[in-house]
Amino acid sequence: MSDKFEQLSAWVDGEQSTTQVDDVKADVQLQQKWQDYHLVGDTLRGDEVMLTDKSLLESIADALDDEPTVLAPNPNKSKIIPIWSNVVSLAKQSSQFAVAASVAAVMILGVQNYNTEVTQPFMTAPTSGPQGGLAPVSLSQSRTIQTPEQQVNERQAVLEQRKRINALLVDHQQQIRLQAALENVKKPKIEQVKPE
Amino acid sequence: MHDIFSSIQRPIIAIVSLFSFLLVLSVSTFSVHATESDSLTAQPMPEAVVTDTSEEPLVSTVTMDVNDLLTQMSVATNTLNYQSALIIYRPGYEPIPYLWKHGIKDGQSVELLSELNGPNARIVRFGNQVSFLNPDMPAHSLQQSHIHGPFAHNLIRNPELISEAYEVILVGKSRSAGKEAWQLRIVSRDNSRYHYILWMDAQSYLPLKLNTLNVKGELIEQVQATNLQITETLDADFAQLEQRGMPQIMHINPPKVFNLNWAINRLPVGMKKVKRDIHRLSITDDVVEYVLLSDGMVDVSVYLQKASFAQPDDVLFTKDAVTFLSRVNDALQVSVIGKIPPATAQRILQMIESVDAPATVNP
Repeated sequence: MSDKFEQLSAWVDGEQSTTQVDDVKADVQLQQKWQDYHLVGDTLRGDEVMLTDKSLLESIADALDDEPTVLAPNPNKSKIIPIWSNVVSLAKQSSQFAVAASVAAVMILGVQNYNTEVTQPFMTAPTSGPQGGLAPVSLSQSRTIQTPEQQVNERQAVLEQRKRINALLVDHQQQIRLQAALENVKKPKIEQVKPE
Repeated sequence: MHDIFSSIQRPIIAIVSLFSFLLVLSVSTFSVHATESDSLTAQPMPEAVVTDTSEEPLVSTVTMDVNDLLTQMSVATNTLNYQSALIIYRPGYEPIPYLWKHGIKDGQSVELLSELNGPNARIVRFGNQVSFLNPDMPAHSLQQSHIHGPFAHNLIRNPELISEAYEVILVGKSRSAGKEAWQLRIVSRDNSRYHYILWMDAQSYLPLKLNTLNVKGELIEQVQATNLQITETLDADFAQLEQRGMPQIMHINPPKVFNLNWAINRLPVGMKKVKRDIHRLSITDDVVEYVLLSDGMVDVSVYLQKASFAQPDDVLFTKDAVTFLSRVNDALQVSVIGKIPPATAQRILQMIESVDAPATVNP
């Protein structure tokens, strides 16, 4: 039995074989196998395959008909057109759409990213510093990785420094105010209001 | 089976996302166009106004003397009944609105300055008694001849006090707060202080606007009157206020003159040492050695104190047009504070030297 098929396979491949055309004509099983072998061969070589048996394609087409498809390929075509090219083009198209969609998505993301303003985490008051050697109050310039304890300590140091700076600024205002008062004490002010 | 179906659905998603992408694009380009056209239409308007006012008046200025104008201003500020709505603007910050009133009540000068936003902080002056009525702290009075208002007080009241450090130049006539105005430039004689431009009402001689500019000519502070009214009679607010209702004047003993063993060798032109003492800071209780400098327009504080921690770099920043500069050297912290350019603060700081013995802080 298997020997008969082997001989047929060899015959199909054009090798030396005991199988004759008449044997195939007489045997339905051999005819079926002959068709299968050619189909397999064509498929492996990448040739376009024409199915004479439409059962597979028809069942696919029927299933598609049942589905609520919007963009399904023309059902008439799918019954006739060779399956290989059909499958390839469908895959190609969908992959292209997928690529296009992902590109669009990336661009949308990119546009959104581009549009968001870059905010700096910490800004000191703008200083128009003169020559070098001056630094803003912030200590958050370049940092190595720290333990949480160190971070807390540093934050406390910054707070402490701010408090001391603030104390000086407040005192500066107080001194200016007091000075104006003291000037009055020292020299009784020149009469500024002209008596009518 | 399932694979083929899902591969057919994918294009739908793709198309939907494409459409949404196009929508995003078109919206963003539309908004860009909108803002462009807005700015285009908005620009020509102020230009037209500016060119209208600044060109012609320069001719008729030759006859006025700067000193006359300044004297007229000090007389007007101290004698007229007026009320002025003011705004202090500093680039990058919100404008702060004030209401400033002055009048003559029972033969003495009365003055009221109130901040219009936030808690109702008011400063009231009867003659030489200035009372601070602030919801945040207990009311108190000090003996002063004026209120430290938005306008530099010596400029508008005692212009002779600034003449050593600044030169006042008459620029011409211009327009401000809806009034014809004299425009004056106040320029530091050694170019080490900020510059000022003052607009003064040509009719009443009251100040309308004061711009503070840094060395580069950039605006750092602006005081602008938005509404100035001169009245015959005293404002109703003063009729309600009674001097008897004000807190008693706190008498401050003139501090002893301390001999500090450090000095500032060279000061910018026109700047003088006004005061020096040792006192405690009210917030941190730190003991500081202190010198107050003044050139009439601005006051500068110099502090010397024990440094509580290392500070490798100078600390320099500007807040409300006030420059703060601090340096730690040999466990001593020196700080300079005032409305002066950072470069000048640094020069003052560098001019500090110990006298006789090496500088130590005596508690």
